[in-house]
Formats: sequence, C-alpha cells, structure tokens
Amino acid sequence: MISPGFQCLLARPRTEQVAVRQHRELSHATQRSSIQLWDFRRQQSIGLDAKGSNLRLSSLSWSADGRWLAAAQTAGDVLAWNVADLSRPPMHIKRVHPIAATHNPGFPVTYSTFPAVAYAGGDEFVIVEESGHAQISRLGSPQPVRTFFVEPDTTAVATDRRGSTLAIGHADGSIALFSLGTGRPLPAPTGHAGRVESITFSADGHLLATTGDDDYVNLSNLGTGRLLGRLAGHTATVTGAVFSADNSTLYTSSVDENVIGWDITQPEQSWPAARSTRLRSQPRLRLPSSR
Amino acid sequence: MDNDLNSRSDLLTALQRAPAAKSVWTGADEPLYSLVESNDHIAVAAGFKNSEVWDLTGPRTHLRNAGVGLLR
Repeated sequence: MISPGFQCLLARPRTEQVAVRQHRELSHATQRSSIQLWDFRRQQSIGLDAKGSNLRLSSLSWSADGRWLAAAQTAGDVLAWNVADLSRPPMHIKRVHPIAATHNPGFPVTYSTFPAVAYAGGDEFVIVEESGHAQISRLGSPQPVRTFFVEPDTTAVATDRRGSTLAIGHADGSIALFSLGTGRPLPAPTGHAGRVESITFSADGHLLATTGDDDYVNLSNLGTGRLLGRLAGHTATVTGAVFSADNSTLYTSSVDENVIGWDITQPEQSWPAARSTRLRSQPRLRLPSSR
Repeated sequence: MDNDLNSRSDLLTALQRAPAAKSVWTGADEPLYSLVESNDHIAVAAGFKNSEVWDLTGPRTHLRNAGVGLLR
C-alpha cells in the first residue's frame, strides 16, 4: 500500500528482521516518519533510524539479498541504505528537482508524488509515482537506467523476489503486470471492484495475491493471469497479504482488525470466483470445545 | 487454534464465507494495515498505533498481550 499515513512493515529477506516505517504525527502541521530495523525474535531495534529530516515516507523495499533497503519519500526522493554499514549515509537513487520539493510550513509538501519503490533485480530498483511516471534506477547512479509510463492513480506496486516482474494496482481496481526485462505487459490478472490496496508475489513467483477495498483477496496464476479464486471472509478493506514460505497458506490483514490464514492448497473449486455469502449451515472444520 | 470465544466466532464467520479460511487471529481493537511473516513464523501486523504480533506455529497466543510486542 502506498501511503504516508500508516505503519509499514517489511520483512528482510533471509533474516529474522523487519523494517518498520513508523508514522509519527508531531504536530498538526508537521508529519514525519522514521525507519527502524527490528529483530522479530528479540523484539528490539537493531539500528537504522532514519528520522531527523523532513521524511514523509510512502514506500519501502529490500533488495533480494537483504543488503539494501530503499525508501521513497512522498516528495519524490528515493534513498537507499546499505544495512551492513549503517554508519554510511544513504545514497539517493532518485532526487527530485529542489523547486518541486519546496516545503511550505503550513503543509508538509506542496508537490507530492507518493512514489513506490520495489526491487528490480541486481542493484536496481523500480520507482513508480502516483502520476504513472516510472523509472528504473541503479544504486550509485544519479541517472535513471530507463524511464517509462504506466496508467496513473497507482495505489500498490510490487515486484517478484527476483525483480523480474512488476505488478501495479490502481485506484479503479485494475492491475497491470510488466516484464521488467523487456518492458512489455504480461497477461493482466483480474482486478478489484475498488481501490487495489496491496500486491504480493509468492516466493516461487507463480502466484499473485492482491487485496482491495472491495473486501476481497484475489489469487491469480502469474503465468496465465487466470484468477484462481476470490477469497471472501474479511468484512472490511483488506490491506495486506503474505504467503507462507511453503506457499501452503496465505495470510491477510484487514481494517476489520483480523488476520485470516487461508489454505491455498485446496482444489481451486473451493475458491469460486463469485461465491455466495449465504451462511453455511455446518462449517467444515471441527472446532475445539470451549473451556 | 485456541479457545478464545472471539477467535472462534471470527473463524466461524470466515468459514461461512469461504471454506479456504482455516484460521483467524484477532487484533487488539484497531484496523490492521500491513502484514509480514518472519522465516520462523512470527507474524506482525501493523495497526494505526501499535503492531500486533502472533506466533503462527504455536497456540494462537497474542504476543503483544503477553507484553512482548514488537513496537513499544
């Protein structure tokens, strides 16, 4: 989800660590975010505190090896930290023109691009602005490797673990897929009836989970773009999704205050695309007796 | 799953809507906006003010309620 207003969590690949973008409202006129790196198990911060400047962050992304953490600021700048050496300042992988990022004391920024950043393979990241302007940037290079345009009103951006496929969700519920290698569009998965809130690739890159403010979770086959199922159960906007490492379970979070674990090893007919919400008389699972 | 009445009620609701739902973890009275899972199956969901933490491998214990939440 591209948003400056909420906490954002991002698991660091191959570790038990998570990056936390924490939104802090310091006053009515000033909003800042900070980035912290937390150890899941030890439940404590292990460094990387990017607060201090007028950071207002819209997106985070790890490189596949967990070495680099990129953060996009709402004004358009995108920074990247080498997490192995936090004493070094971050490098800009995108810098907006100073005039465009002029700050107004009465309002955080006068020109906001709300970019999303996602890993694009090797030492590259793809940056997509809400306007549809997109570019691929390389660590250490001030100039973009390539620029391109996608449909505007982007609300969710993600790439697969290798950084080879780019998925973009929009405010109208549509979802587009692109090959980052060729720049060509891939078969588009079925979208949502409302704003796309999040996009998640499975670890093996074969499945795509998207969530929306239509309260549904869509599970699609990436190779064909075919909708495998629409998972209904949440009663409010579904905001996030994550696949288990073995792809047997999909976990989703929602404004309805619940996390649901979905068994995605079931036959596809268990996930009808337009399932009735009529109550079943008997649930399939046996529940333990109450205490 | 545990025997928490709210959790069982939520799971029943989810099952009535889709049989693929197999478990429900209920947050602490705030919307959840982001979700991650660690390699060793700790799940963290970001709320507006706090983060909710669960151990997905064991009983559905809400770690934050046990005083060891991720964000303090």
